[in-house]
Amino acid sequence: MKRMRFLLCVVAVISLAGCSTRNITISRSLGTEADIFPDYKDIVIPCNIAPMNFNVLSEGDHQLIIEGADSQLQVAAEDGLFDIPIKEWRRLLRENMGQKLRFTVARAEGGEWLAHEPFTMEISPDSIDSHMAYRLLPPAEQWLTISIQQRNLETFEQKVIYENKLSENNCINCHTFPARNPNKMMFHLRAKNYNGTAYVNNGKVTKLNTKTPETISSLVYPYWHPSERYIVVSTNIIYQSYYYHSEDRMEVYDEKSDVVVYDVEKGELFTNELLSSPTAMETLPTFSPDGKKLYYCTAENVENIGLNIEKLKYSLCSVDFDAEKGEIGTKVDTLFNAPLDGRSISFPRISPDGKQMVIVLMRYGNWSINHKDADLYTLDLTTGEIKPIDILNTDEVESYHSWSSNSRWMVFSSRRDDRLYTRPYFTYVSEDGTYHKPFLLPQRNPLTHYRDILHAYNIPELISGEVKVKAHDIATAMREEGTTLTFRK
Amino acid sequence: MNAKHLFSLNNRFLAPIVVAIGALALGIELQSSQEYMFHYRESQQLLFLDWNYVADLLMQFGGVGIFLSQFLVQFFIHPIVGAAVTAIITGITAWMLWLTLRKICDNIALLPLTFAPSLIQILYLTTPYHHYSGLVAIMVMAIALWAYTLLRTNNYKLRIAIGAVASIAMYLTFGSVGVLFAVCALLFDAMTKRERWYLSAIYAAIVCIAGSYLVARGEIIDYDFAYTPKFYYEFYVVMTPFLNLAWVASIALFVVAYALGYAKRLNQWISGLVFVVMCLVVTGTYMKRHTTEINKSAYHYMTYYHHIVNEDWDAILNSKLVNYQNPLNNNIVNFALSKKGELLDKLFLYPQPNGTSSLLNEQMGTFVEEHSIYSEIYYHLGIVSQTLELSLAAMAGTYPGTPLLLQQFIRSRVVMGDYDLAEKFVYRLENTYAYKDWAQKQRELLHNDQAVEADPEYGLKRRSLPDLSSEFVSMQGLLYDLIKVLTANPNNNVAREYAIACLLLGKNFDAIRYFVEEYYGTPMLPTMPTRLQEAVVTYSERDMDYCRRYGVSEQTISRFASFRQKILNIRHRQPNANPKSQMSEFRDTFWYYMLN
Repeated sequence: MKRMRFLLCVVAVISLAGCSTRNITISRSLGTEADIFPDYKDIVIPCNIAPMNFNVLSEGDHQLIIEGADSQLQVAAEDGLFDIPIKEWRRLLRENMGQKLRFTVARAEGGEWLAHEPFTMEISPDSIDSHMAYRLLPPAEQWLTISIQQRNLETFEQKVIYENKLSENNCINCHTFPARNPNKMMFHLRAKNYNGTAYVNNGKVTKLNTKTPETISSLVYPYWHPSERYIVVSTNIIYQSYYYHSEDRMEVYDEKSDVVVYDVEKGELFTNELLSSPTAMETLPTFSPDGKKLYYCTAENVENIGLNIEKLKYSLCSVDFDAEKGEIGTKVDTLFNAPLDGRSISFPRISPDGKQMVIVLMRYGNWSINHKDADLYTLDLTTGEIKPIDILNTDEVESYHSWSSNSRWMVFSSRRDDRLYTRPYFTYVSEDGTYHKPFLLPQRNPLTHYRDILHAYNIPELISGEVKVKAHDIATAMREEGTTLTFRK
Repeated sequence: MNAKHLFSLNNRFLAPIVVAIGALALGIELQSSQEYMFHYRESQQLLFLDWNYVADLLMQFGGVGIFLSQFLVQFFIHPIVGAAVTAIITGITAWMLWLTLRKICDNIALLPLTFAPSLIQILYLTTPYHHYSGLVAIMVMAIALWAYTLLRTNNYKLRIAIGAVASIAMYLTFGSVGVLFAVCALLFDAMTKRERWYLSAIYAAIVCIAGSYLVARGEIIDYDFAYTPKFYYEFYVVMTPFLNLAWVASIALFVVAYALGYAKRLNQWISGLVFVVMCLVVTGTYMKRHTTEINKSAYHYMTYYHHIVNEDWDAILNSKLVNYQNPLNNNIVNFALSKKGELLDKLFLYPQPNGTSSLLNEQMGTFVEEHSIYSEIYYHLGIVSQTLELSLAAMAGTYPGTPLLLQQFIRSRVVMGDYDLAEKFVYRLENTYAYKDWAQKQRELLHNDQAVEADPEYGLKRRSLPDLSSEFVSMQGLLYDLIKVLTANPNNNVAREYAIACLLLGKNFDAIRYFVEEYYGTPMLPTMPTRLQEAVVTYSERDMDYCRRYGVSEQTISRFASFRQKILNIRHRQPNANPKSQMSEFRDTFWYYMLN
């Protein structure tokens, strides 16, 4: 019994020691900036974001002091990681909303604590949607292990929406939600026994067979109409080739493509000659937030495209869309003229408040994720003026982007860290349209997470809550015959 | 010691001796018959000895079994280890099953049969599509079962509680073998008439509930993966009765033991006889089936793979397994010749029945294994971007890749100067058992262009890179790609020899003439290799001045005259005969190849 008591005491002492936090006092300043990963210095963060843990990259014993207006929190580094307790972090966010938190990294030296130059994080009262859905896939468009995951941006929790081990390790195409609604989604599976499009509506999964005799392929790149009745989608015949020697390594390109609209209620596809021209390729469609305009990228057919890839340049066009009648307009507006400009456009995305369109521009093609020169630009829908968003762009790829419900946040893909593995970066967009320094998706241990992960984050989509559908239900539904769509003549 | 004594002492001496001898014999047999399978298995897995990676692995359904098996397999890179470990696992499994079954029926005749479940698993291992964790799982199941039989408590509630915990623990940590454990435990309790044995059915029920829950959560692919040996196979393998046999055999052992219990009073001589017969039956059945399975498997391919990875080119060239009708085999032989610097000298000493596809089959299949080998060949040629394409494609089929693929990826990135990316994978290989030294050497080159350019291999490859452009590789055929490499680096002798071999095997004289007239005397073709001289003489046999102008030696001209004369003589003597069989002194020449 005595021995038992002794052991309990030892356990209690060890536990208390483990829970203890040391508070330090700074002796003097080092006058240098701390070398940290990710670069979270002087950024704007949402008021509901998960702890912005980071790693200090220099050797030694380090301490982090986070100071708000009325309180402070100190965190000791473990193997260089500042793992900020989530409860304390939330308290700091709550107490300092609209203000700046001051971060000071201190290093122990000769029994003293020496401080690096402090940096700040401004807490925006504009929250970000609570979740983000994305594909995790090996780079270079390969797919032995692909999954669609969802990350709670307020914590570090990541959950599977669907993974391809449930369906013959097939390719999973892009996923899409209507206006960030997590209760509805659509994505396509390419698999021998599971081939088809998964349509999820409040937990119910329906398999759609979307290849019709009138369309060139199944549905590929989708975008929902705000009414949730229509989904505009491209159909594409896609190829992939590697360069002899190029900074872009490889290219993915269409040999043919059209745009069609899927009427969810009637289960039919329709298009018109503007969206499925035999002399041009139309792809990457999107609706305006009011649903009255349909935007799409289009390029003239290129003969012998494998030998003339640089001639493949996409313009941005729009047509009217009448959701009441389910009709596509017949007059084309060209917002970006590739032959005149000399560059090529992809992924037009308009903010929910309708004020900003952000696009990706590159020298040619539309598979921007493989173009080192791909950068994000704003396109003024009234004047057609195009401006680079310099604060977001680097020498590496910047590509796919998605807006938050309140139009104040945008997530985009970037390969700035290691040139192959795409990662999601977030930026705050002020009311006046100013973009702020982007920050990398927080992780519990960012250094080891991003160093070790062998998957890229692909198609990051902000969503307003958790997707509840069970992965097994999707796989089960996809094994069934499914519903074959019809084509409106 | 007579048989009576021998068999009466079985519990103490005979059984362990038999198990030890059986395991030893199996080890020797495995080493002689499927050594390369073990090496190949090692070469197809990557176990990162990194806590985060291992923790993720352990947290998977059946993750402990996967980790344990991968941990063992990483040592298979060394000779004999694969066979030895497999034999030891088999021995332990048999011994544990014996210790369990003897509590049902203590008859030595049963002992040989206890080898059956593992031996069947070993037959599965002849293909790479069966995971080694299947064998390990059976062993752990046998150990757990034996431990379960040690529970002597009369308190059935405690026994059921321990059994239930063991079942679920085994299920979660080693995968669907937990189902087998639950069934075997129930059989054991029933056959030994333990108190309220029927309550042991709870084990299977718990495991089934856990499996259903995990399937519903999407943690396990489907019910067949949750409850059957399918869990230990690649997902695309279609299960056959044979692939379920190891589990069926494990259960059948209990039935046999129970049945043998009724024959307990058998004469010791008869027991001995049955024992010997059982030994012969198990050994004979295994050997016969093993021959069938190894023939069905791509064992010859595993052999080549090992020789390529270990750069044992003579082993490839001397192999009797080569099937020259198969372009992949052909390509490997020519690759080995090139690696030895003998491609043009000995090209025609080996059968080349597939034209230019004998050199490199551009219509390769989509198998990971083929991509891995072609990736290596393209790298050798200096067509580095094609290496990148093939290694990435193959990596996608073997997530997180194989050591060779990661090495190919790193090498192609170092050549291209893409150091950050190379470093990501260098770091990964630094955290492996067998490849850390190689990775550390690569690290020394990262971000050091001078060192890369001074390196004999990397320097040559980097100088062979065409200028930056948006031109795609492999769009216009191998010869075009090789000319691109040669244009960038005329000192790339490997590319030059392959280009010439490609021209010769294609028998396209217009292309040969163009190549000779365009490049002879330039850095791309400073001298005329003998085989190419033979082609020049062939297409311009009436214009010896032309031949001499383009570097054809007098020796070649004279040898061609001899060849021609001999052909004429044969045709004169035997107009209908195939002259080839009488021209063996010209076997190394292009002319001999043209006789096809």
